[in-house]
Amino acid sequence: MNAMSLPSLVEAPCGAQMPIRRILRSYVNEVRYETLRMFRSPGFSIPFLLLPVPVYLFFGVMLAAPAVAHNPGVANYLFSGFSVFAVMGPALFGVGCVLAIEREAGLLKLKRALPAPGGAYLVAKATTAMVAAGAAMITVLVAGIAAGKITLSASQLLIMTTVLVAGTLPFAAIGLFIGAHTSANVAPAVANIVFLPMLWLSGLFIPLPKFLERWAVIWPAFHLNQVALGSAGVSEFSFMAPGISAAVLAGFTVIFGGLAIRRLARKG
Amino acid sequence: MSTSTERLHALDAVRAFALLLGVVFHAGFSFIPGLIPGLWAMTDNSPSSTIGVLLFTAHIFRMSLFFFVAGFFARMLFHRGGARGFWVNRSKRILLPLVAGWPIIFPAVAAVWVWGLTRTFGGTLPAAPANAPAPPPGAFPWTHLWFLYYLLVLYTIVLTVRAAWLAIDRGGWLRRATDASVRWLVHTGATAVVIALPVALALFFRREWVAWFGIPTPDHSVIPELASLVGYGTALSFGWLIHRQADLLNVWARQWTLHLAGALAGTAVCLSLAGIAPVFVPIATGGVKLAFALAYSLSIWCWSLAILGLATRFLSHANGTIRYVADASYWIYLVHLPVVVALQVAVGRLPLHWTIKFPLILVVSLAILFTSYRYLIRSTFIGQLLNGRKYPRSVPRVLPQGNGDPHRPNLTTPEQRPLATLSGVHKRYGKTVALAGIDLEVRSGELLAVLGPNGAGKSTAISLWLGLLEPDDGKVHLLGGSPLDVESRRHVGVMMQEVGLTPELRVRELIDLTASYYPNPLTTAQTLDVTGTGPLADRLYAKLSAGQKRQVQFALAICGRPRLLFLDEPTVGLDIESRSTMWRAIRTMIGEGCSIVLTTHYLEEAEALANRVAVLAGGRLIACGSVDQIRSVVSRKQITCSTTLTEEQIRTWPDVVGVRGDAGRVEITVVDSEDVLRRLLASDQSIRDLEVRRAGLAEAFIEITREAA
Repeated sequence: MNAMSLPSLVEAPCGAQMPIRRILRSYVNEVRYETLRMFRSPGFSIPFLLLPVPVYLFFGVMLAAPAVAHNPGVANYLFSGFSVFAVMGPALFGVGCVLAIEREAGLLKLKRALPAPGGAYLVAKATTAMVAAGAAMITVLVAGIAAGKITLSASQLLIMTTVLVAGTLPFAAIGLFIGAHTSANVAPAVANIVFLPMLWLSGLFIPLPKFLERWAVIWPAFHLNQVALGSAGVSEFSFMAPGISAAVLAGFTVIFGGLAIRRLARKG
Repeated sequence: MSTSTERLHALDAVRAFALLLGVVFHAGFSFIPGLIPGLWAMTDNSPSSTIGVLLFTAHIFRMSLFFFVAGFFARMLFHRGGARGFWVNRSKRILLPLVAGWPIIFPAVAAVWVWGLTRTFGGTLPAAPANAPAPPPGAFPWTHLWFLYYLLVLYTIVLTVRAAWLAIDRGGWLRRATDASVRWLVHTGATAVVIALPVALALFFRREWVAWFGIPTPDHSVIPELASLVGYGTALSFGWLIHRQADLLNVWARQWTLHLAGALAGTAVCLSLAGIAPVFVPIATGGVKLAFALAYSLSIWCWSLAILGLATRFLSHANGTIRYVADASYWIYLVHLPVVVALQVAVGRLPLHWTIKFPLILVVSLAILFTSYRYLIRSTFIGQLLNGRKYPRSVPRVLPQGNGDPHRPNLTTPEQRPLATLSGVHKRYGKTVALAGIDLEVRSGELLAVLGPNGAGKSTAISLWLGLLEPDDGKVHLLGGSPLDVESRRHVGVMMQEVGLTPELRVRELIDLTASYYPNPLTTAQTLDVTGTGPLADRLYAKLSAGQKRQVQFALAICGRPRLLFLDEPTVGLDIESRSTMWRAIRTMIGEGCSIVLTTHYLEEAEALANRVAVLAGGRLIACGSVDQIRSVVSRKQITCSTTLTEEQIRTWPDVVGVRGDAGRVEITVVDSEDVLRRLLASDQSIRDLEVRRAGLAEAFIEITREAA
């Protein structure tokens, strides 16, 4: 309580430049506490960590057994599709809904007023989304290997996992965009309006009718699936060059991330 | 005669629109249905009638509209700088870009074309026909830069005609007659019909007229095409004439529905005559040709006047975004063709629908073009050349304010310089005025209390200082820089009025995170100690009471050892002990040289802590000074006593402003206490418990804000 024993409460008027070491530290802190926050709020993390595996086992393994018996390659395609499903959730909902809540609470405004380094908050959100997506992805991977129908090699699985976890970014950017533009009440609804149609219309799980097939290319989920399959060399289900799909995903990230950042910088 | 700057904003926007529409036109070209392979660099595998109609419509008017605006601005330029100034300016803006730009643009266009045709014809360029006719004399591939050449030609013609005209019309009657007829014509609403006639005739009498593409694009010869010269010459000289009486634009602003209806009808007639798919062969002479020429020319001018009217009506005020786009549009149009066509070639063979490819080409090319403008042009000599001005690369860091104000003492030492200022700041939200021209400064080592009723503009002022808002007008300085600059904010602490911190984090973690934003913060332990939040350190923020949350927010505000601290209603909801801890910390910080801006509803808080008080009401600063100065604004005093006199008796006395009675005691508010006291003592010998009190800050505040309202 006794302020006399403390160092000055007010810094010296000059010479207090922010060293790069301390800027890095604020990035690290932001990521650390954001991750901590996520694991302490089970309402958001549990559904996205626990849901993908039963869904995958039921739809992608049990119900798909006849199709896999007919063409063993289908098991690989379904594994990739359900993995995309697993990584999308934390990014869209984890980032979008939490951002909307924090904006509404005025936290974003405080961060803008504080000398928080511009990108730290966003880097923290993206990293957290990747951590959560990585955890979800690994549960699906373990389930897939245990089910024993996947014919991919270990290195192919490693490539796919890496690509899919990195592929969280465009969805995190879309999440940011949703969170930056909607209220806390509306954000989950909007995220669902994006998430559910994308899940089915990207052709991740079931063959699409012809007229819808043409439109699958508008969904980033389709492109992430293509990059994952293409870079792992699963040519049977590669419909588009992975380079083009990766460029499309980069485009999604830049456009949605850019629009979100612009909005956050102006309105908070 | 006069042209206010407002009309210029509108016409600037129109010119930018016409140029950007050109980008859209070229971006859609590869999707035109029935496009003969080889006619354009790429024939897309997903053609679209929708794009066909869109491009047909855009192409009707985009260049005529451009030449109209060019004529308008040409006369303005001519009358500002004289003939010599005019030609010097045009040499820089038009001739130089043509001469210097063409050698760069043409090879780029040619290269993209070779690439595209190679892809179109499956890997090999088609051989040139053996019996191809020799190019006619004067042939020159202008590409889309022909419009620069035509501008120069038309300027020459217009200025020559003008000189001849002046020689004939020495008395000026011809000019007056012309102005009067133009004015009459515009007011009748039939402008489009009359002005369309020369174009219609020129098109009808053109021998080989590919009607679908309207006024011939004269991009292949230095010898001017007659029809193009008539079409665009009419537009440019009409623009010149309208500048003589620019208020006529306001008439079109009222007639826009009429012109839009005419434009839609004319376009529909043209499409029904020529068909939605383009025809690449000349139209046969006959009734259809005449009808088409008339409908097309009428559409040119109906579209142009509708757009000019709409712009005058809705885009006449200064707007930063439009200004930026207008500045960028010239550069963008000059260089867009190779970019747009390269993208068409890149996507032309992909198995995607045009609804994906066409927007993709537009978005990507505009992103490239705007980015190139931002980084290569806007702040360089090219921008200076094209737009006549060079924008600074970023907002210059503002130096600490000088001492130009003669009413203020000359401040010399850094300690005395204000740490933060608002100078002439205006801020409005929609129609609500939040701040109406505020001048306020925070001096070193003082506590400035900002008081005012709800909606007075207190939080807006603080938000401006914190860089959360930008002023509509006026300047905001924070620690010698801009509040938008993180570097300035690194020495500022802030406690906001309503904020929800991350509920899942512990108090210790919140302090650690916030402190890491600052260069030289207190340790977490020190912060906890100073603010008395030690017992809360390991509790989750969500589990704290409202008062405890305020204490934690205060801890976050001071953990960076700020030189300037903003506290927005800091003690709301605190118990007495927590409040006194906070007051103590505030006093310690002021003692160590920190400056504090405090808003509060508790006037005793301001009275106890503030060196200076600023009172805001209705977005204006209505009083500013020391606590004593503010109190003395109110000369009233309060007399309380126990007396046998009734309230009604006292109320009739001179100098008495108000009387309030309560259980035998009365409270009398007076202007001149001495006279009232004498009379009170004389009237009631039994008077007891007499007390005279100067009005407090609260009374002063109520008084001041009531007067302001």
